[in-house]
This record gives sequence, structure tokens and C-alpha cells, in this order.
Amino acid sequence: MLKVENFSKSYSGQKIIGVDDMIIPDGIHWVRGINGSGKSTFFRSVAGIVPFEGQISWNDINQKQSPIAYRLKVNMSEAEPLYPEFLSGYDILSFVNKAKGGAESELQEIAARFETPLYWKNPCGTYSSGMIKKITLISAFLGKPELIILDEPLITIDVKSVEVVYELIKEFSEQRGVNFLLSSHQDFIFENLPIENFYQVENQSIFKV
Amino acid sequence: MNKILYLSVVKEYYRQNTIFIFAVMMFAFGFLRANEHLSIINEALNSPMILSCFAFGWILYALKVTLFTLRRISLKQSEFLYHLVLFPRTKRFLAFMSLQFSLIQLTFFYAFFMLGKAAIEKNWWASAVILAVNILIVILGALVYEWKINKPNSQQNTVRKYFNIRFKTPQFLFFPRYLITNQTVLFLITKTFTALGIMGVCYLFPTDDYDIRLISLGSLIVAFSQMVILINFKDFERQYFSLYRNMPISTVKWFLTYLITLFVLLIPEMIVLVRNWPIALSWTNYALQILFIISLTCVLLHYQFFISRDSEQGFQILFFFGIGLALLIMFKVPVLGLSFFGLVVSYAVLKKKFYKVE
Repeated sequence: MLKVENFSKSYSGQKIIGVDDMIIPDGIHWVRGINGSGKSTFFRSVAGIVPFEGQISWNDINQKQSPIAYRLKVNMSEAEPLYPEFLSGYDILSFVNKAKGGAESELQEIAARFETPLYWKNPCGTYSSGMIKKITLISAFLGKPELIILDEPLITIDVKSVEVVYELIKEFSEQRGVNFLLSSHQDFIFENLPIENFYQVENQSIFKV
Repeated sequence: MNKILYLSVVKEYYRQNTIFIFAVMMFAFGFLRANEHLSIINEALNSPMILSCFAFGWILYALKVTLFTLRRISLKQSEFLYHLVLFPRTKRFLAFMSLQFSLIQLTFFYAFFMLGKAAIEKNWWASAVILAVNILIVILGALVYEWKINKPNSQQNTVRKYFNIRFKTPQFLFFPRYLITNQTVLFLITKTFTALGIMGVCYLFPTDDYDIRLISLGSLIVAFSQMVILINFKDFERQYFSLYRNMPISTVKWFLTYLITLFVLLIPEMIVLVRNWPIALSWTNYALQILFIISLTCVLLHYQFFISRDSEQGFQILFFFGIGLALLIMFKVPVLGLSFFGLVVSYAVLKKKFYKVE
């Protein structure tokens, strides 16, 4: 269960998004909103990537009071990741996997499903946007997360990889009880998944639809 | 074509290198007065040796801007630049010359002043050299860009490919690799400057009744000379590794990782110091000086949590911090104490600010 209290995020005094109190229960949830509505900012705040006003807790683990324990449970895949062109995807994933306490075999297994071992030891500068996207998607499934945030997980990847994302979400949800926050612009995109709730990001706020 | 190149390369170059250019200007015009510049130029115009040193500096700077442009062209967001091959070759080459000329303004202004002085003195030999070097820099730069624009998606060299496949880059080497790959000239200039500083201090030591404080002042200069590199370190993390803040890594572990990275970055200085270490001083003192340099660079790195890269006041505070430290050294405050204090302050800042600053 994700608990958000008195949450507010501003840039240069301009409020981007704010939520007084909200509880997102366990399950797979779809967060919708137009470009620039603040979805990514909210996701990045939940993941602990950007500072914010207020409190966010996952199963009573407060992000600000227990930063390490919280981050062990919450993973995120960015919508438009940017990696240094001289590092390989494997360098980045090995670092994330080690930090998240994941096993090398698990990294290899998830990477194989996306067929990244074919190229992941080449520098990121040689990747297409789809190849880069797969690296950030894999990173979200590493370790022992309880909540995985996938920001626009299906953009730029091919149909085969889209199927892999669906399979992984279903597997992690059903077999490991992992919860998901997903976002997508298209309305039909997650219709194959058992979506628990829909949330709309609009007018600098989030509400359940 | 000129406008596209200006917006995608020239503007970006000056935006990203504001601090570097500011540091060069401060160094060139802060330490030396106009009369001293005139004396140096007079000497250079009459000495092929000194003039070639100037030419070397211009070429080094040209290398920096050329590497920057090549990196910009290679970026995904700049792929549209490959469409420049569709323009007539002569027109494109002139645009590349104009691009290179816009990028070397920092050194060209000085060269132009020297050229004027040489012409007034009717020193045609020096005028020809200055003119030739600058024209060559512009033409060679344009040739390199022409080569690059005709080679999209060029293959990675086999040695680098072998290392990438065979070895994994540990996280503490992410930034050192970036520095060497993407900021080669900054790395070379900084390390050359600090190496000369260390050698100067070590050669000076036996010439009079100096004590360890002279070496400590040298260490202070070495640490502060890393500032542009340290600014790049923070920029590198801001640009590529916002994901660090999603990692379940303790402050102690982050702190140790930063220390290891700084240690790696300072290896060239350690080697130069060990090779020139005065016989009269003990190796314990050597270890203390290294600790002092690492501690200070750590403070300077984490100090950036409080300032933005264009904060004039932030850099003024830094200047007075340096003066304050120099005074403490002169008043014989032990380097070990300063180092320990620096490490404690750095750790506290990292713990307090790591998750709070974007």
C-alpha cells in the first residue's frame, strides 16, 4: 500500500503536482494524464529520485525516515532514460543489480527475455532508443521490489518486447505479489493486464477515476 | 547551415564551458596585469621557443573544441546534422570553418592581439607563424568535421570493444571514464597544471629554510585546481544518474565510493608528488598530504550541493575558504586535523543533502 500525505512538488515556485492525502492499494494501477501533467514528476517522487514536500510511505516504510529500506522495495523505469554513451548497458545493470541486492542469474534471465545480451556489452552510444529503453525496463525488475513503477514502459520498444513486459508484469504480480504503477498515453495499451484502479493526473493533482 | 551549427554546437559549447572559460580568464587576467601580458607577448614575438609554447596552447584548446564538436555530432539528438552532407561540399566546408572559428574565440582574441603587435613591430616572421597556426587550426578542424559528417555510425575500435566485452566498469570508475573520454583536454590541462605546481613546490623546498607548510600550500593549490573537474563530476551525475537516488545505498557507502573515485582522479598528482618528494621529509608527511588533498577535494565536491554552477557568490565564498585554509596552514594548524575536519564536514553534508538536491 502506497500512502501519500500532504505531497507537493514545485519547480521555481511553480507547483507541478500536489496531493493532500491518497492511498493506493496493492495491485496493478494505471496512472493516466496528458504530456506535462506531472505523471513522471509524481513517479520520480515516489521512487525517491526527486525531493518533494510531504510524506510518501510504502507499507509503513517512510521514504524520508528509512531511505534505504524504502528504496529496496521501490524500483522505477524512466520514460526517457539517458545513459553515458561510453558505458555499456551491462555496466549500468550490474551496478543497479548489485545495489538492489539482486542475483546475477536473475539479471541474466530477465535480460535474456529482452534479448539484450546480444548487444548489452557495447557502449550505450551505439544503441537505438528501443535498446536503451529495454535497459531501464530490466533495471526496474532487479532485486526484490514490492512496488515497480514503469513510466511509459511501452514506448519505443518492438512488439515482441511489449509482450515480454506484459509477461513480466503478470509473473511478478501473480508469483511474487509485486505491485505496479504504470503510465501510458494510449488508452488501449494495458487492456491485457488485470488493472486494479485507474488514476488521472490533471490540474496539478491526482485522483482516482 | 551556419545557424543550425551555431545553435546545436557553438551555443551549447559556451553554455557548458562557462566555468572553464571563466577559470581561464581569471587565471590569465587575474594573476597577470596588462603590462605583464605585454612583456610576455614581446618576449614571445622575439623567441621561437616561447611562441611555440603559445602555439601549443592554441592547438590544445583547438583539440578541446574539436573533440567537443565530434561528441555533439555523435549524440542521438544531433543526428539531424548528418543531413549536412546534402549541401554542396564547398558551402559545407566554409560552414565548418566558420564553426571552428566561432569555437576558438577564446584563444583567437589573444592571438589577434599578438598579431597586431607583431605587425606594428614589423616582425613578419612572428606574424606569419601566428597567422599560419590559427588558419591551420580552422582548416584542420573543418576537415575533421567533414570526415565525421561523412562517417555516420562508425564502428567502435577493436581494442575498446575487447575491453568492453571482457571487463565491467565498476561504479567508482564511471566518472573517471567520462573525464578521460569526454573531457580529455580538461583532464590534461588540469593534470599538467597541478603536476607543474607540485614539481615547483618540491624543487623550491630544499632551496631555503622551508618546512612542511610549503608543501601543504602546494597541496591546497592542487585540490582547488580540481574545481572544474569536480563541477563536471556533479554535472555528470545530474545529467545521467538521477537513478542514484533510487538506489538503496547507505550514506557511508556513497561516501566511501566518492572517496575511491577522488583517489583514482588524484593518482597522477600522487605519482608526481612521490617522484619529486623532498628527501628531508618523511613518508608519513607524504601520506598526510595525500589525505589532505583528498579531503579537500571531497569538501569541494560536496560543497556544490549548496550552489548552482553559475552562483557567483558561491565561488566567492570558495575563494575566501581557500584563503582561510592558507592562513590556517601558515599558523601551523596540523594538516591531519584539517583533513579529518574536512572529511567529517563532507560526510555530514552528503548525509543531509543527498536526497534533497536535484
